[in-house]
Amino acid sequence: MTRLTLNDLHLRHPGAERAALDALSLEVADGEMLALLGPSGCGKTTALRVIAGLIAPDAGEVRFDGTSVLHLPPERREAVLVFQSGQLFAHMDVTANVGFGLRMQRRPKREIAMRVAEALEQVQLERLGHRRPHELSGGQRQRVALARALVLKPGLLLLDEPLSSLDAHLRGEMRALIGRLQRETGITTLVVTHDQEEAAVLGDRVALMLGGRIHQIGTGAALWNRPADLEVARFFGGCNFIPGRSSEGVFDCALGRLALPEAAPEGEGCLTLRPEAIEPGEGENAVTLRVIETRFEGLLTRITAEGSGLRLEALMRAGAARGATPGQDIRWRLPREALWVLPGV
Amino acid sequence: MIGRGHPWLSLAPALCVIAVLFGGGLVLGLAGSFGMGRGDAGLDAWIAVLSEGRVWRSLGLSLWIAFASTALSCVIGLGAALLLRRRFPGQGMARLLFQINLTIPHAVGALGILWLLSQSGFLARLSAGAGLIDGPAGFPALTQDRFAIGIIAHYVWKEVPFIGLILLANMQSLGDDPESAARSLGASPFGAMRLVLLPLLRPALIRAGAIVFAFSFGAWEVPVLLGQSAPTALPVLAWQRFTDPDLAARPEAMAIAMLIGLVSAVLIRAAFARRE
Repeated sequence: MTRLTLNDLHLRHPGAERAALDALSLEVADGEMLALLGPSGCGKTTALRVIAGLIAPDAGEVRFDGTSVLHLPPERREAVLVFQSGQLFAHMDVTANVGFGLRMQRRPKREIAMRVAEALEQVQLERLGHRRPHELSGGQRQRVALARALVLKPGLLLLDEPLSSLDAHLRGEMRALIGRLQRETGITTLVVTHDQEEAAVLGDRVALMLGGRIHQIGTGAALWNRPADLEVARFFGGCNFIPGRSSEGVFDCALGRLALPEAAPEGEGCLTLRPEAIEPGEGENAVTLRVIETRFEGLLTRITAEGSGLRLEALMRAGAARGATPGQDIRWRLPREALWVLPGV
Repeated sequence: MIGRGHPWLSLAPALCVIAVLFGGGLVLGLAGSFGMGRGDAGLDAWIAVLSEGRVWRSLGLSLWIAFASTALSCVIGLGAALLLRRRFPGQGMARLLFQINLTIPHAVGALGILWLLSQSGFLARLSAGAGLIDGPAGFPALTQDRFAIGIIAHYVWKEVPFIGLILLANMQSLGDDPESAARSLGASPFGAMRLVLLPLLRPALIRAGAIVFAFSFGAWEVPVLLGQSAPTALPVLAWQRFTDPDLAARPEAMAIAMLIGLVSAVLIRAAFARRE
């Protein structure tokens, strides 16, 4: 298995205004599954292609186990990229597709047949070896693409949005399969996704990439509840930002004095809390607000309320939201553990 | 509304044109080859044509022209497309220059080949001027020659951009990802091209090659201008019989034309069947 280090990568595509990679640095530990999360166009796929050796960066380093691999062509990097669309070879059947890499390594035919059969068994497609890609469903095609990569036992597995072309049911299945195979094989894996839930479920850690650089790395929960800056908070759906000052475990703002969780940053800044963390009723950090608008969003209702010149949004289940009608005063509790300060914002 | 209703209904306008213009011509040609409309219908024209050595020699020459032109056009067109898909300074201009002779009519192109390659042409005079040969007459016969080099040169010159254009469009729709996937799985650049890109391009290459083959096998204006007088290419023979003052030769002209269509269809079908 391989430890991956990206060091200060820069890349600007010809004719592009913005850099695709802007001082991108990242470390993926040996055997770790890291989810590289970000919106479309933030440079995630470009980063994967640079790691795979399909694109050369303008500057920076890509190291496998501390050794630079920038001079190595893709076929000698021991990093296999699984494309978003699977990219199965249409003129080959499933067996030939899965055995392609082994054939390139000039392995004996018997060994290829054995390892292909094992790989197909791993992805539960042992009976479909004779089929052509167009005879497979989307989920089956992705599993073949995964088997084609895993059969090579690469040092580094790069998955580019492996679930994006699948429907909700298949996504769950495939997510579980990827997780199980990664645990079983221990292959260092970098999985790119734009889906926050997918990143949180798949990755041991999540790296959030915005505008070609990493903004924050940590567990899914940390990124979700303890964003490093305003952009991270906004990416994760944060919409409540209250200016004020943090000092000695409390935050002074227009809403009054609010108790903060332990280790909250100190100084001038912005208090943020997720809309679904707000609870109706009395208690610590309870504030009075006037309901401006309510909007039904399926399982949850979004309530916009205003107080002391500040506007807050809450997402509540139907029962909790029932009492909120525009123009009415309500009491909301801002739970201490859900609050976080973005210093200097 | 486009795309709605029964597919045959949507295809009907195009099918009508094909059925009337092409199907009608084919039926009339076939009827003419059996002497229909002349009072003495029968297989006489076919028997005469198939038992004539000149027809077989012409068929052999036409097959040589068509196979050689198609093979060379495919190989050179493929190579050119592979080069032109890469990004390089002046790529736009190179593509424009590559495609430009698609707009030149065949007859004009054939005259250009004549001016360039014949024994009184530009290359012959240039070679003589450079002292490479004693005089223009010493230049090898590349037009009106027994190997139909001038004809093949013309078809290759004209069809390479056609093949290249079809393959470039195909490669554009495939993108770089199939080759990138192969490289990531351990294939060298050449291996990725040979094992992945070329098989993916094969259907388009066969289709484009079939069009080139059908055209170079069945067209008569270029062999008339650049070919030798005996044996002539099969389409030239059909044209000569058709314009013969003796109207009794017309059924033979039709039979030769039908023979061209039949051989072409059988060979193209065989190429597609091999692919499947």
